[in-house]
Amino acid sequence: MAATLAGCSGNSGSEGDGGGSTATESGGDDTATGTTTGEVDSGGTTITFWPAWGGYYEDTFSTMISNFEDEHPDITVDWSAQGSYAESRSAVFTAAKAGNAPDIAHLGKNATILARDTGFFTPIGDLMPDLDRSQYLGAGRAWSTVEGTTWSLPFNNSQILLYYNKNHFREAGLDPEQPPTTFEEVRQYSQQIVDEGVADSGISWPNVNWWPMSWMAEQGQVYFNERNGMEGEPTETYFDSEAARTLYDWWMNDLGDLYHYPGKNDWGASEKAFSQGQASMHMNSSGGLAYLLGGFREQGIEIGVGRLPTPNEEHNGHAAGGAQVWVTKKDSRTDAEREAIRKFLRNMTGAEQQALYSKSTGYFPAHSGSVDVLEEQGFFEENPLYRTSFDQLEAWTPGPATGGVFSGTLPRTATAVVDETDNMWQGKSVDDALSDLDSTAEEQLQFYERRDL
Amino acid sequence: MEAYQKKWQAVGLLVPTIVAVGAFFYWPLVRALQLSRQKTIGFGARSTEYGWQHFTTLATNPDFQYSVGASFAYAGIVVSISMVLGLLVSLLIYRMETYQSFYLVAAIFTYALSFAVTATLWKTLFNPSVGIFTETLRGVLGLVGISLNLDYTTNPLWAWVFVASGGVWKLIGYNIIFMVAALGNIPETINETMRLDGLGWVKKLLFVYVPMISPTLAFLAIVNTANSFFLTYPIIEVLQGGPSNTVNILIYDIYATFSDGLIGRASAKSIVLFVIVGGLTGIQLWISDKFAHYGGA
Repeated sequence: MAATLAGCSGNSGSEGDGGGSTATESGGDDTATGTTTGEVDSGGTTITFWPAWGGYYEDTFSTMISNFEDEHPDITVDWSAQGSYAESRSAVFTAAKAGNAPDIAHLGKNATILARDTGFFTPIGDLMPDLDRSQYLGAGRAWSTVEGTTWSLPFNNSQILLYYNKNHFREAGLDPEQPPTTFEEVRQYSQQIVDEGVADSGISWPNVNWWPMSWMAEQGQVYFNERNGMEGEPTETYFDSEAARTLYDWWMNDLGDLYHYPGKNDWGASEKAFSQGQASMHMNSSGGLAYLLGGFREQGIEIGVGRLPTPNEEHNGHAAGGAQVWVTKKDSRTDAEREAIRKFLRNMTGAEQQALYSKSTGYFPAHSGSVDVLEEQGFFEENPLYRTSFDQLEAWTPGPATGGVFSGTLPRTATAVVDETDNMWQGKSVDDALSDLDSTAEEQLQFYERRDL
Repeated sequence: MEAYQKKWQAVGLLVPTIVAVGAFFYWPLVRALQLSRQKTIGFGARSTEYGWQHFTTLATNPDFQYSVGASFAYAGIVVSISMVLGLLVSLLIYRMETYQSFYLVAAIFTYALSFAVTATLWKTLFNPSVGIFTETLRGVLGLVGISLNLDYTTNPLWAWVFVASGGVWKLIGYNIIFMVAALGNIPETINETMRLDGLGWVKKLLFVYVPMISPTLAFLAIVNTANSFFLTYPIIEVLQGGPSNTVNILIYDIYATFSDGLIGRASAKSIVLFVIVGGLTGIQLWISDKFAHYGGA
C-alpha cells in the first residue's frame, strides 16, 4: 500500500482520474457496484448520502429525505448520519480512500480546501454546469467557490447570535428589549449584571475558533493572504494584526473576569453556565436556535436574541458557519445515478426544503427563496426570535474577510487559535500569544504545502 | 506423555492465534512504521515520503517533550496510588469474614465501566460551578477558611487531580481482583504462625503478604503501566489537554494529532509511545525476575 501512496504523489492536478490511490484501490469495488446498478436500472436508482449531524438534527434529515423520495419515487436515498463535522470528515475521507465513499458527503465549511485537495471530489460546477448559483444566499454561497471552481453547494449555514436572559436584564436594571451590540456595551452590561449581584459573570461563549474568525471578519481583516486563500495557496497569516489585538484585548483585558470561561471547545459548558444562571448572556450558533430555545424555555428562562456584538457600530457580517454538500468522484457512476444526484441536490438545497430545515433548526437557509416561503407561512410572526438571525444576514456584505476562509490548514489553525486563546486566559500576554499563534499558523501553512502532495 | 503426537497438530492449533496476532498487532505495527515515514493530509488521502523527519522534528519539539514527561508522571502517579490503595482495600476485604463477596464486588465494579463512562461521570462530578464533588469540597474547605480554585479549565493542578483520580478510580478495581485472589492463595498455616507469633498488621503486610504475593504485584505493575500509557484519553478529552495543555499526555496528543488528519505525524508519535512502553515493560520484567518470589527454594 505504501508503494501506491508514493506513486500517487505526482499527479495531484488532474481532474478526471480520481487520484492514483483511489483508482487503484477501489477499482474492484466500483466495478461491482456499477454492474449491480446497471442490472436493476429499470427498478430505480439508489444514491448514498452521509449527513454530518445525528441526534437532534437526524429527524429533520429524515423528513427532508422522505419528502424527496415522495417526489421522486424512482430514486432511493441510502443515508446514515455521522455524528459531527469532525467524524464526518474522517469517515468520508477514510471511506473514499478505501473506495466506499458515499455519493454525497456533508462536510463542515472549515474542511473546504482540505476536501478539495484530497482529490476525492468532483466539482459541482462540472456535474451541474447550468446551475444558477445566484439563487443561493450570498453568505452561504461564499464558501463554495475557490479559485473560480465551484466545488460544493451550501446546505446549512449559521451565524453567531447573542442569547440573553431577560429576567436577569430586568433584575440588573437593564432594558430587556435592548441587547448590547458593541464590545463596549457588552462590558458595561456585564459589569452592571455583576455589580447588581444578578450573576457571577456577564457573558459566556465557548473557546472556539469561530469567534475570533468572525470578529476578524467583522473588522474586515482576513486570516490568510491571497484574499483569505480565495485566489491561491496562502503563505501568511494575520494573527498579529490590529484587528486581532482589538478583539483579544477586549476579551482578555476589558472583559476579563466578567467573562465566564467554559474551557476549550466546550459548547455544552458554556450553555450550562447560561442555563444555570451563572452568566446572563451567551453566544452560540444560530444553528442551535430551535434546540436552545426549547431547552432554555424548559428551564424557565425568558430568552432574548441579539446580533453578534462587534468592536464598533459597524456590522459587515462574518464568515458563515455550517456545512456544504459535496459529490465524490466515481468513475463507475451511470448517467441515471448522476441525474439522481443532480435532482437530489437541487431538491435539498431548494427553497421549500431549506425553509423546512431552517425552521426546524435555526440554520439560515441556503436558498434565497426560503425566506419568502417562511414569510408566507407566517413563521416570523409566530417565532419573532428567529427574525434577528435573518436581519443580521441582511447586513452581510461580500468581501474577502466575510467570504470564507480558504486554507487546507484551517482545521489545524482552529486548534492553534483555541490553544493560544486558552493560554491567554491562563495568563499569557495577548501580544506574546498572538505572535506565537501567527508563527504556529504559518508553520502549518509551510508544512501543508499542497502542491507537494 | 507427549502433548501432541504430530507437529502439524500443534501448528494447526497455533494458527488462529498467529493469524489474529499478526493481523491485529504486527500488521498495524508495520503500517504505523511505514506511515511514520510519510507526510499526509486528510487522513492519508494524499501522502509523500518524508523519511525520518517526523522523528527529528519531534525530538526537538518542546511541546512533545513535555507530553512524554507528562506521560511518565501520569503513569507514576496513577500506578503507585492505585497499587497502594488497591493493596490496602484488598487486605480489608481479605480479612472480612462475612459478606466478603459483597465488598469485593463493591470494590471492583469500576473496572467494568468504560473509560468513556468514567470521563462523563468525572465531568459531571467535577463541573467547576455545579459539580457535586466540587461543591462539597468547596463547602468543606470554606468551613476551615480555605478557598481554592477548583476549576479544571484554569487550574492545572486541579486538572491533574481530575485526570489522575479518574485513572486511579478506573484501575483500582482491576488491581483488587488480582490482589484478593493472590492473598487468598496464601496458606492458612502462615496466617496461623503469624497469629502465634503475635505479628502486628504492618509487619504482616510488609514482611509476609507483600513478599508472598510479589509475582502478582509485579504483574500488576507491568499491566498498570501499560494501561496508564494507553487507555486514558477519554478522560483527557474532557479537558482537551487541560489549561495551557498541561495535561497533554502522549496518548491524547496522538489522538489530537490523528484528529487533525496528520496520520504520518500521529504514527511517528505512536511509534515513540510503543518504544517507551516496550522498554518500560522490559525493564519491569527484568526487575521482577530478580526480586519477585515465585515459590520454591
